[in-house]
Amino acid sequence: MNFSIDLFHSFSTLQGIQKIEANLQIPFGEFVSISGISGSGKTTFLRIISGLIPPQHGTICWGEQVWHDSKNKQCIPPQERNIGMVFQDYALFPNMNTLDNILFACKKKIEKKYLQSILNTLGLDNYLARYPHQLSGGQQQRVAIARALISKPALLLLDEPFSALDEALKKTVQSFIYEMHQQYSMTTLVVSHQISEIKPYAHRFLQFENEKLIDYPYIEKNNFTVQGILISKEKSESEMSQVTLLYDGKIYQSPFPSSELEKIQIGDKIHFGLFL
Amino acid sequence: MAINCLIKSKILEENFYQTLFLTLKLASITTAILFCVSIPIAFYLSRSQGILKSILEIIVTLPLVLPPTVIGFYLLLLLSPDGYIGFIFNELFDIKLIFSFPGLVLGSIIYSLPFMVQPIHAGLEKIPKQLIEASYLMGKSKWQTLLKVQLPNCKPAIYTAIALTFTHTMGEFGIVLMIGGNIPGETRLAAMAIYDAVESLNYQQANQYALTLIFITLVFLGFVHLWRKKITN
Repeated sequence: MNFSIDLFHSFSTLQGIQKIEANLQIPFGEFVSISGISGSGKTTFLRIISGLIPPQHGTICWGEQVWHDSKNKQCIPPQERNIGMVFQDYALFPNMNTLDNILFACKKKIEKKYLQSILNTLGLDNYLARYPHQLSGGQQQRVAIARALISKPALLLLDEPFSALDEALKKTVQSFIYEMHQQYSMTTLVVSHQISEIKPYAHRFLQFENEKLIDYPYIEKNNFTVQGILISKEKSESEMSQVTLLYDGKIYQSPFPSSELEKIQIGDKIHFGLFL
Repeated sequence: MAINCLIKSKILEENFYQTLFLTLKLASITTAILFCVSIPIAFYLSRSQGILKSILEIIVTLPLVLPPTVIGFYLLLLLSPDGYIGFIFNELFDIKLIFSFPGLVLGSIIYSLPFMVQPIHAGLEKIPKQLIEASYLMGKSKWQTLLKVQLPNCKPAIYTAIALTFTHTMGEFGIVLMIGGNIPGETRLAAMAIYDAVESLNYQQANQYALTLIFITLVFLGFVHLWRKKITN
């Protein structure tokens, strides 16, 4: 089963009209990284697939369930999509304390043990009675993460979820999210400026380039892939050949499938793995 | 002579409390009804766009800019037994709206509508959109979000709306004069009593009413200010 996205959306910003184009299939249970320069539409993309913004054209299907179909004017509201989301600015409810903020996201009664494990891992036990304005940025971000995870959503959307965490805490939170993702088979989409944060966990790297969301075919698992210019290619007898590419003024060598080598020419732009 | 004076002062005292009680009763009932009516209106205004919203906004603002006598005049026509509303109430519920307390309540609701709707509307509009979106993503309906997220987060605006409506209704004059008349114990409010006292050169009584109104208003506004301060802190 796949999460299928085929959409086009344009919206006006201070810089002018911004467009988003995406056509991809994400198998259920994948951990996906989304990157791109500031203002490329990453957050808008998350808001579109969560149902908060209807795309102008296209379809969004969760397996066989159609979430959005602009042709047939079909749209399932966000309430019925089973999504957990961490907003870039956390969006904690100022009128609720930490515990109430987390429990508000529960759609049914949850086990005390499960709640306790989330609170323990995210280090929130001592802040349960505090209101958002009494928490630091990092604490608020952890509350937002706990709130997104508590209901074990089918789709987890995280918008810069580690930006306010210190290095030690970042690693704990990252592994916890990955653990939850594995345990409950949550399809997880993470927007991050720092690919290295997600690199160890991601199955797939998506990047916004020229208003299109590109699904990079990575060469080797866990390598971030970028678009470089082919300078030379050396065919080897093994399955993988070696290509030399120019990216960002530097020269890189990268393994490349031998069977694909004939299709590319010197000067072509190709995707290759960049070891971070 | 002395007995006559005593009886007269006793009657005046009774009239004073009766008028004051009626004024407070009208302000309380109007505020309570307007609170219930204004929340759906403010919610609709904060969520929608387009021509219907603009029309509704203009209708809600109208009592703020029109002279009370203009509203009072048309209310008089509508609420009289021959008017559309007056006829319906008379026939269906056997309630006479003109020169009666229920008519005063209806008039006050219309006249004080902007004082309740506008602060709540402004409060709802100020709430960050992401809070509402976060609630929707947690499976909460629009009404659940309104009750659990939006309204609790615009409490200061709600308190302001309640204070403005209550105090404004207490000082109502023009509409009361047009549709309520000046029947003691029935439609005679404090503002009318002040006017009457001044007309008959009884400044002492006018002063008594005016000072009492100022005192009640100050106490009420003081409480609201403290509540707001507590919430903001």
